[in-house]
Amino acid sequence: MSTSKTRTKGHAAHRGANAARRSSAAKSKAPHGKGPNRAARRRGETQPWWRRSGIVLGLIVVAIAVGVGVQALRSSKGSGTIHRPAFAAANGAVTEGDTNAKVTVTEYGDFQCPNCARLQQTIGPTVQKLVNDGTIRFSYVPMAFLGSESELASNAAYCSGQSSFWKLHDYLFANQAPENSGALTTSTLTSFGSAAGVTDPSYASCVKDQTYLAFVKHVTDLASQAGVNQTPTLLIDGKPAPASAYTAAGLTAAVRAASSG
Amino acid sequence: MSSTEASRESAHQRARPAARRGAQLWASTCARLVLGAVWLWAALAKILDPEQSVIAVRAYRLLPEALVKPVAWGLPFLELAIAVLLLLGIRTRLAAWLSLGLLAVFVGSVASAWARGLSISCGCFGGGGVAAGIDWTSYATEIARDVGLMALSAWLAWRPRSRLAVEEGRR
Repeated sequence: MSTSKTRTKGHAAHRGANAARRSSAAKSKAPHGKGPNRAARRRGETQPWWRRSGIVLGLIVVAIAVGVGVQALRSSKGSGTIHRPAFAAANGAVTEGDTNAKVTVTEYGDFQCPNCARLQQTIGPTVQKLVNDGTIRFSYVPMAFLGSESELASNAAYCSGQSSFWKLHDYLFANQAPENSGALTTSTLTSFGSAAGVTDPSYASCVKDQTYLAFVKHVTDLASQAGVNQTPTLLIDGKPAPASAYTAAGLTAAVRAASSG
Repeated sequence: MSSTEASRESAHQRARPAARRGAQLWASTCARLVLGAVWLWAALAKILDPEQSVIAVRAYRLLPEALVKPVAWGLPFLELAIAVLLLLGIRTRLAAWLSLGLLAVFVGSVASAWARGLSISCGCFGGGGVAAGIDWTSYATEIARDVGLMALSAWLAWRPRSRLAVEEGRR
């Protein structure tokens, strides 16, 4: 009790002193440009800044903790069960070509990424030739980091089935629209399937139900964990390809070097 | 506004030309609202797409894997808190210092990615931080933008008082 009384008294005294100081400060100098402590006293704030802002700082920490918790919960719930299409590898790669081919070329791409569409134009025919003559196996990993339309496109590619995956892959790159412009929806992707020649009877329902959505997210996450943070990324036998390999002639040369080396 | 506060206001106005003080108050108001809007946008984009944030944070290759998710999930809420404080005008000086510090961390991270020759997009406003063919000029642009925002934050830390604030007349 006594302590609280003295505190009140002290506070009142302090306030009186403050008032005096305030008026003298106003007369003598401009009130700004001095240390915060003095400015705080002038405002009648006797506590240091960290005590006045402590509650706010504490609330921020609580908000961050709650936020992390909510996002962790969302990620554990939202992902759902991961269904992997039988023709895709565990890391999401879909592969074509002779299993006896000496060299494997892997591309990480996103169906919405403009440079991936450009690369497809540049090296697509060469890749096809090298696959057809048994020189390489070609793997494509559909990352989906450019938003929900990329996820829908990757899902559709997995829905198209082993026989049609490459048809839809080529079609999506040849008919690419600007990122997240609304061009890729479950309904447009269904009609893209017919246009590209996808024959799987369950394609439409698979696109609509987004059957492989959780797998698509998982694949993207795995690629990021593997250190792929740029698309397109080309690997030759699992090692990053040189910059020169992003051209038709350069890719042929890099593949030749890998098969002889 | 209490009578003591009113007298404090007038004391200030005596000490400095009223027009200049008014201009400063409005300049601080603009800085506060612009900065708050930028933080709000950055925070919401990341909160709505936590998976992309994780990929973006990982792409910088600065944190051990165990810290990637907590940072990717928690950071946007710090940004949100700064946005709310700035937009409402509560503890403006504290929010300005937090804003300045966080921007300094961002500039450092982008500069380090640049120096290490990583090709990533910043993920500043959501997005996976994975580059779809990035060039060096985008790093320079990102850093220039952040430095501009740091200048706004520094101004607010120096002159936190503004109009249209919950704690109007306070810092």
